[in-house]
Amino acid sequence: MALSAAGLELEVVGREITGRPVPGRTHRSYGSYLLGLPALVLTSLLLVPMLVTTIEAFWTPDGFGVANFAVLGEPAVLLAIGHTIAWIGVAIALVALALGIALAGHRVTSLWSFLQPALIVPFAVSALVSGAAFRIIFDPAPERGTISAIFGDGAVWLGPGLFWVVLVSAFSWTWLGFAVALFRAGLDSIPDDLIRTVNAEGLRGWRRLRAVELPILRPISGIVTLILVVATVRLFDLVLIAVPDPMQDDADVLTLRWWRVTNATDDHGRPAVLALVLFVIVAVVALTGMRGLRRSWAMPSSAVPPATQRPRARVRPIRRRLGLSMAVSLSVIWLFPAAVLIITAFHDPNAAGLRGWWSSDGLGLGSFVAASNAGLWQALFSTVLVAGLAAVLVLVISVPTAYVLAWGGLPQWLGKAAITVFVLLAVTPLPMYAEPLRAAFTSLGISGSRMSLALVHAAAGLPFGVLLLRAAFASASPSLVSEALLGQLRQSEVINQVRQTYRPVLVAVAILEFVLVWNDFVVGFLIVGPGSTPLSLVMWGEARQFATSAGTVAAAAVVSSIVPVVLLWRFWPTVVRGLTVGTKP
Amino acid sequence: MSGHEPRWRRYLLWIGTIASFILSNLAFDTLKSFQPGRWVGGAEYLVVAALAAFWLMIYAPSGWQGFQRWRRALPNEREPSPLPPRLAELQRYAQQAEHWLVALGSDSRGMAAAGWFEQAEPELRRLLFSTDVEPESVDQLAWICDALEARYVRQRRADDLLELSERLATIGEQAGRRDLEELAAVRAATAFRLRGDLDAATLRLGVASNLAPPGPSAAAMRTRRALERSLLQLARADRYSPGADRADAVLNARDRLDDAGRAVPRADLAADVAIHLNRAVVCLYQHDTDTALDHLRLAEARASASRDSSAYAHALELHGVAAWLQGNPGQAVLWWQQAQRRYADVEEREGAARCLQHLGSAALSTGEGVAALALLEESAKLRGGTQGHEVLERYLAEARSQVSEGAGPPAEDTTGPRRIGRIGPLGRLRRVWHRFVA
Repeated sequence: MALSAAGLELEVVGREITGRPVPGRTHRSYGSYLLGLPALVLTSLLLVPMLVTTIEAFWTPDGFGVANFAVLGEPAVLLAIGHTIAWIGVAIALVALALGIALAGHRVTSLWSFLQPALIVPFAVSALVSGAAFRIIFDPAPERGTISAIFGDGAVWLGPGLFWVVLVSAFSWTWLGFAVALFRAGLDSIPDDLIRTVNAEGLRGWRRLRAVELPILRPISGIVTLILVVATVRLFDLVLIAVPDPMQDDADVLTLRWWRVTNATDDHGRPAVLALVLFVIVAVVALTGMRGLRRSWAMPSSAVPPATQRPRARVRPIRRRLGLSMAVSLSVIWLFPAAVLIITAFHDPNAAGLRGWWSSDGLGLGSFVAASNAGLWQALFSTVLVAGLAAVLVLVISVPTAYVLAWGGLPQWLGKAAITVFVLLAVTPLPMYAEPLRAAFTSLGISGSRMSLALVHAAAGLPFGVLLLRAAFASASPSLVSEALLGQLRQSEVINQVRQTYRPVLVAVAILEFVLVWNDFVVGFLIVGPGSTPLSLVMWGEARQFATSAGTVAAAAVVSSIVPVVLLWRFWPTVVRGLTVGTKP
Repeated sequence: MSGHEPRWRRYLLWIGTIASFILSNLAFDTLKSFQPGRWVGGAEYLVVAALAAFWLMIYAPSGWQGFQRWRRALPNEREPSPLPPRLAELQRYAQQAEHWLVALGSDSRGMAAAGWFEQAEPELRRLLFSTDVEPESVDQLAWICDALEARYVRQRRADDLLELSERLATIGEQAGRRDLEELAAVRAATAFRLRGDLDAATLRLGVASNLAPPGPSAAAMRTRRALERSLLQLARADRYSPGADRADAVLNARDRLDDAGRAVPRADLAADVAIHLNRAVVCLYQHDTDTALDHLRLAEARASASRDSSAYAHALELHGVAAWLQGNPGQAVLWWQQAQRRYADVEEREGAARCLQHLGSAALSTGEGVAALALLEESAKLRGGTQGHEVLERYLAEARSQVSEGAGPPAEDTTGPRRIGRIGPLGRLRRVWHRFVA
């Protein structure tokens, strides 16, 4: 048999079964399917409300129809859709920028060792915190805002048009480091023999980038683009806190518009249409980028020689010094918003409201006291409980589910369908399920309970955990699974072994889920309501009078950021390793 | 499952059943003392009947199997008569053949097995074709057939395979063993397919389906028939030019593989590997490389579990094809090099020759005529010539003409593989130029 492929005719042969026929009966085991049951129960928490929203979008007083879709013609909605699409463009530009930085860091190693810690901090803090920091920096009053003080009265940074600069820089500040780190991990995992071949052939510059680095980074680029696009489409709290009230309508994105329409009417149909449109946009992006989440051409571990530490290429001193100074200045710029936030927090609320962070008047712990009076400590306790519970739930449920998907012997169509559903669930925007869930929780009388908040978080975080773990299990060494396939090991023992071997992925899933829940504002705000009092809701309550409570908000932001920053800083290498296990070339 | 069921669990079930009997009896006695009446007695009978039915469902199949084993073993145990000398020799060879069949293609003793077969093949054939078919010799002859078949299929010796299957058919017919006749028909189908006579192959598969006796190996045979049908469909697809007919044939092949996957017995790891490898081939035909890689991953896991180096090498080879299709020629070359080494380790010349052919054609596509010619000639040497290998023949001719033209400037082909082997003077010049530019 011959297969023509890319200019070559390849002789491909199938395989016969030889030798004596093996006695035994056809055996099908459905027991392993049960491992996926908990995930099914938990995800139905999203699936059922999504179904309800879809039906509502098509439901009019006269029966089923598309009358609700007229909402898409409203100017405000069109503007929001346009903004959302523009944000997707921002996400893609950020991916390109991150790739550039990662490549530069890969060639000048000293740049990286300095830059990395600085890049992690913004990713660890919540959108509310970064929004607050940038709002303080770009405050239009020159006596308070850093940028206004530097550039004088010329531009109103938080005014019409210019608030986009603030928003985009705040967003980039949060996500750039994360994207760079993932690309960087991808570049680090280029097999040694490939590098040797490339060096031997003298490939340099663009040719090397096109022939070696870009193809290898393809799966990771898929994931990074997907994550960033989903982040832009889900944009909600950053706009809410960073843009002053009068300009909010100009900065509208689809999620916000959905929220406003929901609040403005009792009609379920129109907001449902907006949610559906949002979902369709994300779904298209996700399904296109899904190839990145599939392992594309991983070598089995036995085929790859064990990685040996490559001697670092000697860098010329001038280049080294240049890299170092660039890294130091970049890190300083990158850490600046965090520093502003911390210094503002150590001013009294009055001083913080009147003067800039650089003024030495009113230094003290007054803002922390004010934040404490606003319920900071109880919120902190509440958040620890909810985030911990959600992380544990996600871990406990996603491990068996991912195992079934990777090695459970599901029929091919079922495995593919399940993975597609998980990809879609991983990117589903909140409006798709928020309203029906909120209504259900209210009628059950459990809205505001920590348990329901943790459950919703776990359901929302489960798909990503499952996908990540599946990719990791799928690249498991064949010998590990072989014993299980031979029936010498029980499934539970295999799961146990897998858990030990794939610790980085487990750590990544647990830490990311914990940090995401910790930093969440939207789920607590839109679904569960204020009763569960997570940290972000307290901050949001204070931030509504931003001019007077900048100090309190900064103090709350600093306190609430300590745990995620420390966690991510401590486990960063493991998290990155875990995130890229399934995409290793 | 029952084959791997731990012993303690069987005892646990025994104990559980007996305990249930006793406990239900006690419970009903207690109930009777509270509420003497007819319904209690009726309920007791019902529960006992349900327990008995459950017990029967669990133990009856294994009990029946045990009884049959005992009955089959009985005559031998009763009269262990010494074998006549000619049968003793047959038995010795048959046992050795079976021993080495297991080792053939395995990572530890694959090479030794190939050596043994090389030496013993004439003797095995003599015994097979000269020994009379009697009840005592049937099984031994079938074993020898099994062993030789594995060797012939690996070496793609279609004519020998056909001769072998005809002998097995005769043995089955004379001994009244329909299972052997079925096996012979499937093997004949493989031989005809390898010879390119697809109609005869289809006919033999039909014969095999008609025979298909029930028995312990029925599931394995069903798997083989379905798998052979799928390979037949792939061979048919090869005859069509790209279009609807070809796509249909490939889809048919996939359906037959699904049948095979449904029929395969759990213990038949080799069949499982073969199914996954063929699924990967089907996916490659459909240019669905991602799914192909999924199947290859499973095939690799199972092949390494069963220490089947030959199948592992096959998976690596297909991995290379997938990488080539994905536009990663550098990776493809690495995979083929690994596969070729693995094939060489188990002395599987046909596979190694195929990999050398892939490598040679890849080198040819980047204009490295000299390296390509060396690889392709090595491939032809392993195959003992180019007869019957049109692709190899074509590439060899191309390589020769490229070399004789003095290896003109290589085409600037960015989709071609990264180069392997030596770099010519022009390549060196280019390298200097690029260094200068960079």
